[in-house]
Order: sequence, then structure tokens, then C-alpha cells
Amino acid sequence: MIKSQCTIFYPLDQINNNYLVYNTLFRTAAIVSGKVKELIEENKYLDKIPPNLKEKLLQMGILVSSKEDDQKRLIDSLNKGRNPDYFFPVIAFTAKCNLKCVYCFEEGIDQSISMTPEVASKTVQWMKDYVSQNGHFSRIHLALFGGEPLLDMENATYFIDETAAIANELGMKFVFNLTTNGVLMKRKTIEEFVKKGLQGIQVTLDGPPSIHNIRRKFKNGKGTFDIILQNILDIADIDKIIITLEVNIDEQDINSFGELLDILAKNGLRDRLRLVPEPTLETMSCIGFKDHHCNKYVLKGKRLTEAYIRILQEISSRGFHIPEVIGVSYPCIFGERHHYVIDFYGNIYKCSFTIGNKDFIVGNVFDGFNWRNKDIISSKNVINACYEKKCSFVPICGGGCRYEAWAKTGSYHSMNCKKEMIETILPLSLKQYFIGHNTHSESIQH
Amino acid sequence: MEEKVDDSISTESLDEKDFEIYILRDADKRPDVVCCKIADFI
Repeated sequence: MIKSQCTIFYPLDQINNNYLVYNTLFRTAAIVSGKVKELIEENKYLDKIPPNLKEKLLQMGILVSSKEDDQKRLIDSLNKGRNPDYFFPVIAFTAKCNLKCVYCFEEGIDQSISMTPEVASKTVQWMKDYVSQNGHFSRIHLALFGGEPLLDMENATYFIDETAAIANELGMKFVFNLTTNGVLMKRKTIEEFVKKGLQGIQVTLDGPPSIHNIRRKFKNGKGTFDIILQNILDIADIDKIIITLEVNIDEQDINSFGELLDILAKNGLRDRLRLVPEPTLETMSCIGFKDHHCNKYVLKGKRLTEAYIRILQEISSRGFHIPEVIGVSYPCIFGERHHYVIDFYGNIYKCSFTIGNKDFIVGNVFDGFNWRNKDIISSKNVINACYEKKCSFVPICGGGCRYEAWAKTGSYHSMNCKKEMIETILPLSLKQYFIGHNTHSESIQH
Repeated sequence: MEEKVDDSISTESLDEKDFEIYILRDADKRPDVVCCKIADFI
């Protein structure tokens, strides 16, 4: 019996010498004494742990029977993560957008384009064929994407209804999400969507009005903060939907993140929004342009770590809910099977960040997959390399975002390691998540 | 020269309190692992 590679300990308090133990694979967590921590870490004194406690630690994946068992469970779990039981198509059916955001990754794409009825019909047929051929899904999870999807209600309605029909015909559950800039997010539209299976909305505010309005603005330069906030407030009582608030974080807005939280709290949104602070990524449109927003403001290395520490402090001090894990996420949609992004021309990609880049096209709805590009849809080699390096964080990181790896190095196969950052911020988020907001726990005495 | 073995743990007395565990999330409460974009919605 040995400690799992995925088990980590973080000190809680020096007086009682207690530790938070967390397993990144099973996401189990507990508080144990410093003595138990020592026995586990030393490995050779495990026989001193009482049998019932040892059994519990085995159940929780904190201890494992052998190194081989540990590796097998990790690989099995990561494979399962790559092979979900749902089909997840993201349909970017329009390039039209009413905003001109400073960091837009679709910059350069012709914004007059929407999917034609022919491409839309072919897309539905492609989805139906895919689901029929790959079977055994429990649900179809459709994502409406753009451009701004609410600028093309005809296609939005078409895809919702037709995808629901596929799910219904094949005996699957159907849900969908909407990623919108929030400007046209009217209550009547959202109520209609909820009746059809809307599960979640993702909308973005990048700070208080003074900051948000210089980043996310109309094409005439006018800011959008007040409109978006009002639209969020108008739908806040529709409790069937999860409202995710994305905040794109970089050097320009990190210092005003707390101010945004104060505004949200003042408007009664503290417990209503799911906060997702995401660092602004270096996009394809900024590469080679040193004056581009992303090149000027993107957070890198230690600055990114410091930003996450700041974010966690700001969230915690205001009583907002802390994410369990922040800054990394696995599975990456690049490596997940049954997840595809389809653009307005019917091109198929693996990640929405790559829309418009022909190097990332894996096929199209007319001719199917282009298997010359099949290698870009696997992150398996990166994960294996991370495991070999004995990293405890592989299950929550998976080698990092593939798009970001490509943007940094020109290769989507390179490791995008953020171990140093995770080592610093994970104890902060876990302690706050489990100790600060813990409501479901039990104590076992031995 | 004989290798020195650190036996501080093996000889130290351990009482019952040292073996208490306070479970914050048990194995059967594992959250769904979903891809990074879907996670934004559930």
C-alpha cells in the first residue's frame, strides 16, 4: 500500500498540526492530523494506521494498493473523461456581432456572415449521423455560439428545435447553453429558451463600468456595462438557469476586479452568479502585433499566479463562492471525444478559440472528417508525459489548454505546464472551498 | 559505515486523537468530470 501520486497535503493550522488532504483524481478531501500525514508520506509506517482508517483512506483514493493500481486508475479515469456519455456540439452559426471587443479572437472574420439554410440543414444531418453512429449517449448538450448568437434568432431557433428533435427521436435528454455578450439577452427570449431546455447562460463583464466599457463596447465606441447588468438583473429570478459570469482578466482590469464584485453584491447578485475569472489569452489575431491588447496586457508566469491570488482574496473577502479549482481545467475540449465546434461555413473544429483558423479544421459537415488533422484531437501524449514526471495535478490540468500551448509554442502537442502556479493557488482555493464553505462533512473517530 | 535509519515515527507514541479523520468529501460524492467549456454551465 502506498500514497497515491494524486494525493496532496496542505497545512491548516500550526497549533493543532492538522492538514487538508486532497486527492486530485477522486476529488476527495479530509482533515487529518500531522501524524497521519507523516505516516502516509513516509510510506513505510503505514502499518501503524488503524485498519478502519486505512480502509477509509483506500476508499477515498488517498492510499492505493500499488503504483500499478494508481497508474491504472488514473489512466482509466482520464480516458473516461475523454469519452463522455454525451454529445457536445457547439454551433457558431453566425459571425455577426454588435460589439467590438479589444481582445476578440474572431477578429478578422467577415462579420456579415451567417450560416445559410443549406449549411444549417447539412449541419443538423451531420449531427444526426454522428449521434446515430457513435450511439450510447445519455444526452445531447448543444451550445449556441457566435459571433453573437442572439443576432440570428432564426438559426438559433432552428438549431434548438432540430437538435431537440434528434435527441427525442433517439431517446436522449436534450439541454442547451447560450454564450452571449448579454446586450440582447431579454427576459422574453430567455423564458422561451427555458421552455425549450436552456440550462445555462454565459455572459461577460470585465470590471466596473470605467474598465468594462473600454474593453467591451459597441462598434460606435459606446460602453455596454449598464445594458448587460440590467439584462442580468431582469433574468436573475429565473432559477432554472445557471448564469455564469465570465470575467476576462489581464493587467488592464485585475486591479478593478474587487470593484466589480462590489457592484454585483450591491445589486443582489452575490449568490446568483457563477463566477469564472479567466485570463485573457494570447489570440491568433494578436500574434505578431506588439501593440495588440493581448500582447500588452496578457498575464504571464508569476504575474498570472499573483493575479489568481488576488482574485481568490477578492472573492473570499466579499463572501462570493470560491471555485474548488481555479486556473486549470480538464478534460480540455481538444482532447474530448464527441465535442465539436461548427462554424458558419460548416467547418468543424475542436475548440471555439480556433474558429477561422484553417490549420485547426478537422473536417466539415459536407465531407466529414479530414483525418490528416486527426492528431490534433488528442492530448494523450501530453498527459502521459505529465504522469511520467510524477505530477500530482494531472487529473485537474491534463497538460494544459491545447490552444494556449499552440499560441505559446506553435505546437498543440507541447506541454503547457502550470505546475508552479497550481502549487501556489490550489491550497488557497481548496482551503477556502472546503473549510470556508463546507456544509457536508462527517467525522469518523477511531 | 552503517546507514542511519530515521525511526522517529516508529518509536513515537501515537494516541487515538492522531487517527481522527474529518471527511470533507467522501469517495461517493465525487463531482462529475466534464470538459472545460461544459463546466462553465453546470
